[in-house]
Amino acid sequence: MSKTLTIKYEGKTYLLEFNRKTALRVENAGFDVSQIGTKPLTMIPIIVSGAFLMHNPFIKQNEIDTVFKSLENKNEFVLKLVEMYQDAGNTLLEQPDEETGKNSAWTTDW
Amino acid sequence: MSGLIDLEELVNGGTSDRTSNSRQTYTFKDLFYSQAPYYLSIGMTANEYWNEDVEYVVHYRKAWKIKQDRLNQQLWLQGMYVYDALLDTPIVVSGFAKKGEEKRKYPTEPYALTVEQQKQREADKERAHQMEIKNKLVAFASQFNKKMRDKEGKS
Repeated sequence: MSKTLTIKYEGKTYLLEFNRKTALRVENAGFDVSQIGTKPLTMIPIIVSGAFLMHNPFIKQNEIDTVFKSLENKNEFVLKLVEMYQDAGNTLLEQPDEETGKNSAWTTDW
Repeated sequence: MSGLIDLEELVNGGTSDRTSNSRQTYTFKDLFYSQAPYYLSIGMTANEYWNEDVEYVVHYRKAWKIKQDRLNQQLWLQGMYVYDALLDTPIVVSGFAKKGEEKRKYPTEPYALTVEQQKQREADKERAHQMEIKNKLVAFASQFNKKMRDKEGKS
């Protein structure tokens, strides 16, 4: 199962997910993951709106804005969306564990 | 947030290709379109590839490997049968057979490929052997009884 994110807002439940089509639309709309740090005001709205598209294709922009404004911990939320978005491409790249059942371990220090 | 994004463009698929035009990078678009024929060739539908769960491709890849392994096993087995048949040919035709050489028959059933099949075959063989002994005993007993009855009748 791919990664999904659920938002509950004023009695409504929004399921956020990317498929390849919506990931492509996000990219065509100008989203570039490498610019999310330098152009957050441009990139974040694109990926947030794109994440709604798969399960809420007819949602209005102002509804998305309202829901997004209500969210807590927006940075974490956006990072999760980026992760979901990248999975659309990453799943196409064969992972080592598919062959050997073992992956190399890696760690971070932050 | 409002005013920064054209949602219509997102909903309608977007026609501008700003990312790939502005820089020579390998975009998702390139990746998705370059990989699509492969996944279609291994049985994934276009709808599954573009619109469904992005993880499906992983399952399709694994399933394809299993299919390939199975096909490889079948081809190996077929080759084995052909090889066996070729080896047996001079003996079966018997014109080339050495004197006193026993004719080898083509196997009456496929080779047992798994340990379970092997055990089942051995159990069946054992059961058949026991039945054969039992039948021989029954035949011997009835013959013996008949002889005894004949003897008693004469005396």
